Order: sequence, then C-alpha cells, then structure tokens
Amino acid sequence: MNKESFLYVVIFTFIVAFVFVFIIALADGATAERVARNRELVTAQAFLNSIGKSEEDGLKALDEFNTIFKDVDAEGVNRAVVNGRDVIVKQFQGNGLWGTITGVLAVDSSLSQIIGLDVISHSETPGLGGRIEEDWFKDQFRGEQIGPDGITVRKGEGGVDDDKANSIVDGITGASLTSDAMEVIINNEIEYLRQEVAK
Amino acid sequence: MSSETPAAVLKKNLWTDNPIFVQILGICSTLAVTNNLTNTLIMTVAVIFVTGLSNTTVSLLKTLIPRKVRMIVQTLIIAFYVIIVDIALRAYMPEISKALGPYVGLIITNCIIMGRAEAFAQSNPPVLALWDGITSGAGYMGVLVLIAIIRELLGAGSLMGYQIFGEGFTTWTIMVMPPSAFFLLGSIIWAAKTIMFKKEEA
Amino acid sequence: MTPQINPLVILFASVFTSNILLTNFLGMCSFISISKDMKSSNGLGLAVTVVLTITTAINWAVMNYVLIPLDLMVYRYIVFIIVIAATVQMLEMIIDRVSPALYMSLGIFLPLITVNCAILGVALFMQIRNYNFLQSVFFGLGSGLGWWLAIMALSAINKKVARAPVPGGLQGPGITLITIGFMALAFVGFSGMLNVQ
Repeated sequence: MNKESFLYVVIFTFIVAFVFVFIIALADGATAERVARNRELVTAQAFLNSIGKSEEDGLKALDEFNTIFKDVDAEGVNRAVVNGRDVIVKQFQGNGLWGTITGVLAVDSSLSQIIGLDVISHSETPGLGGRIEEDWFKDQFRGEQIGPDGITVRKGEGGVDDDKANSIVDGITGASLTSDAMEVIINNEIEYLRQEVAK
Repeated sequence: MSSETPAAVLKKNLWTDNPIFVQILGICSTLAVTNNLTNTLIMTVAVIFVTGLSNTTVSLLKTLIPRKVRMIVQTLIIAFYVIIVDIALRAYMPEISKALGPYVGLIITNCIIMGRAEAFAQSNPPVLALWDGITSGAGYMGVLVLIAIIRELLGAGSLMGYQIFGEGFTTWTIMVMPPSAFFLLGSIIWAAKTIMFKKEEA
Repeated sequence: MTPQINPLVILFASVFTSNILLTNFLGMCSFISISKDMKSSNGLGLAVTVVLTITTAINWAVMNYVLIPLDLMVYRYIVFIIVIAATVQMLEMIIDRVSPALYMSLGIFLPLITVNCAILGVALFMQIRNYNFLQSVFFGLGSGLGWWLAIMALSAINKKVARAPVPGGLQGPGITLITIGFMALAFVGFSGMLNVQ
C-alpha cells in the first residue's frame, strides 16, 4: 500500500493511537487502587502532622490515624484526645493567590492555642508562595496563642518572631499575597470553629 | 545520514552539542523545579527515559510513518511515554508527583525530545537512536543537576533533604526564587563557552 | 473546588506578579531566539496572546464537557496538545484567507507556537487549579500579555546590550539569560500589588 495515500495515513494514525490509548488505559487501571490509597494516606498524614505526630511510614500512619480519629468527617470538625489533651482538628480550604489551598488545622478544644497545621495541596508559585509547605513555616504555628482577632502573619519586618504568645507568625519573603491568604484562611477557620463550639 | 559511532554521539551530546548550553533547548520544563535537587533528578531521569524510548520508537517506525503526519505521530509517541511516566509517578511517588505538578506534562513540549526525533531518530538505526536519546538527556541532566545543587545548597542549606550546612548558615533567599535559575544558567553557559573557545584556540 | 478569585485579579497577576515566563519559566525556547529583533518579537507576542486565549478557552470546554464526564482525564496531555495543534492550524488558515497583511505580521509565527511550552503549560495550570470558564479565559489572556510584555522588554534591552562590550563566552544566550534574570528579579517587586479577596 502506498505510504503516502490518504487511506494508509488514516489507518496508520488510527492503529498507533489505538495501541497507545490501550496501553495507557491498562497502566491507569493497574495503578488506580494505589493512587486512591495514596490520597487517603496524604490526608491521614496531614492530620497526624497537624497534631504533632509525624509518621513517615504509610501503613503505620494509616493505623495511627484510624486509632486516634474514630470517624473522620472530611468537611467537619473532628475531636480527639492527644497526649491527654482535647483537640479539635479540621480540614480547611480557601483561596490562595492562584488556586485553592487545602490543609488541616489542629487547635486545642478551648480554642486558645494552635496545636499545629499541615498543608495538603496548593497551587502557589514554587519557591515563593509554595514555601507554605516547608517545615519552618508550618512549625511556627505549633503552640502559637490565638488572639482575639486570630493569628497575624506579618510581612516586611526583619528578624524572626519567636514569641509564641503574641499570636504573630512570620510570612514568606517575596510572597506577601500567599502569606495574606494563609492569614485569612486560618482566621476564617478559627472563627468557624468558635461558632461551632459555641453551639 | 551517516551512522556515527556511539562514542562520537556521546561526546557531542554531553559537550560540544549539549542541548542546553549549545543548542539552548528544552529549558522550560525543568528550570522551575531546580530549587530542589531530588525533584530535578527525578525530572531529568524522566526526560532521559522519554527521549530514549521515543527516539527508539520513532526509529523503529520510521519507514512506516507517512510524511504528512510525521510531526503529529512523533508528538503522539512522546506524549504517550510522558503519560506513562506521569502514571508511574502518581502511583509510586505521589509526593514528588505533587511537587512536580504540571511540569511533568510539559516534558512533551520539551524541544529537545522533538528535536532529537527529527534530527536523529528519523535517519538512524534504533539502538543508536536509543543511545542518542539517553546521552542527550544526560547532557541535559548534567547542567540542570548542577544548577539544582547550587540552588538547594545555598537556598536551603541542604541537598536532597539532608541538611549540609548547620544552623548558623544564612540561606540565600534569592536561590529559592525564580531569578536565580536564570542567572545560574547564564553563568554556566558563559563558563562552558569560554572553556570551548579556549580549547579551540589551543 | 473552583477558587473564588476574581478573573481580573488573575489577569493582572499573570502579567505581573506571576509572569508565565519570568516566574514560571514557560515559553523560553522561542523567547530566546526571537528576541533579537523587535518587530518579530512584537508579532510573536501578539500571536502567543491570541493563541493562548483561544486555546485555553477551548481546552477548558473540552476538559469539562468531554474529558471529565467520560472519565478520560488520564489522556488530557494528548488531547490538549491535539487541540492546540488543531487550533493553531485553523487559525493559520483563517488568517491567511481573511487578511494576507495580518498573515505576514502574525501568521508566520503560528507553527512556532504549537510546541511552545507556555501554551500547554497554561492549559495544565488551568486544569490543576480548577478554574471556571471566565477565569480560564482571563488566565490565558493574561499569560499571553505577560509573555508579550516580557519579550518586548527583552528585545529592547538586547538592542542596547548588542552595543556593549560583552565578553566572548557570554555573548548571545549567556547575556540574554542574565538579562532575563534581572527582569525576573524586577518583576518580583510587583508582588505587593494585589489584594487577596
């Protein structure tokens, strides 16, 4: 058959496309279960990170997660007891600069202190806003007192804020918008929890 | 086109015709992740994989591909291997897959891969095409890994997550931000070209 | 979840604070080679903007009305690229037929754009961030304008640099990249401009 004939072109492209699509579908199907498990794992690890119990190993993480949190409501308020303290853990979602920032916030049940937080996903600029997922940024929130207006993420000041009682954490250099977004999201979450707890 | 020796191909792709500092190709997709060495390594290994295999496939099919749809078929082949890489990463290395984000998909538009398919795979036997793909990818990897080492070391004091510099080290924030990648790449090109000129004069 | 971000904010941000090229490193290959000449830079910038706006819109539609309902998202890379190639091809034919003058200033750059990583990149970013239609269009438009702005600035600077005593090894791509680095650094200064809602 003439290689340049219209019929050949159509048949060839069709066969090539078919073979590729077939193999991709196979690969996708074979890994689907694993991908779903990975997603569960990410949520479990984020919850654990927020209460300060980091666990690298996947199986152990899922185990610990299920032990500490009996019935997890992804959208709602979850209570648990960690190291003898009552804590409230909730997944949050809000507008970053570019897309949705999803994470987990853990506070003590009197809503006076942040136990910790973790970031599950975001679409912020890598190297700038994307640094919210770096440990130094997240660790700032551990043990930070919650003020009457919530938390302030400060920008544009030099030096490091070490004071846990002043409800202030440092923003990210060059990413003031994402830092602002985090402040808004966290304070919205705290406000929501205050209303929920008051009920 | 003539068949070159594997050794000649290696030298060309790693140095004299290096995809990055000589041909200035394909920087888009990986520069963004060079702030982290682990991510860069995974990305460049993925590029080597895709370039090698798509080169081989194009070479194997070259007598069958009609001229009219040559570019489209090549793009399909490249896209196919990239999707496989993406699926593998999502399943077995989910954190890295998240960190790399859309940049894995952008390997498809990486000019190096299309360039090698056109320039080499279309007129060379499959095994040599595979070698050409791998070595081009290696030339690419070398430069980007160098940039990543500098950026992560100076920007975070660590390499692949392991702290190298202690607490007292003040990190160079510029290294974490995008402009540093441009500066470093420009400097590497400068250094490489200067060395090449000197060799010619010698 | 579609983020509640005003499309105009997205437009502004993608031009300045998160420029597709200076911050996200997309669209570099043709950028570096074409930026020597201001007229072609202008033409290419216009072409990129037009293609980005149209293809992002079409890709959004294909994604939401075909890929997601039929659970074919795993093929999105292939589908997006085909959409981009087809759109560019059709644009070229339409422009050639409608206005040969426009074709001379814009159309000849179109084949170059199909493999421009910025086009596919914007489509992928749009998919990851779950933008709605209006946000996607403004994102495409803004990214194009940002790219256009960057390439015009670069070609203007290149004209001056061409007359400066640049050392041998640095000439050409070397100094161009360092120039781009300075531009990127300058654009970081824009990052305080917007307010998050």
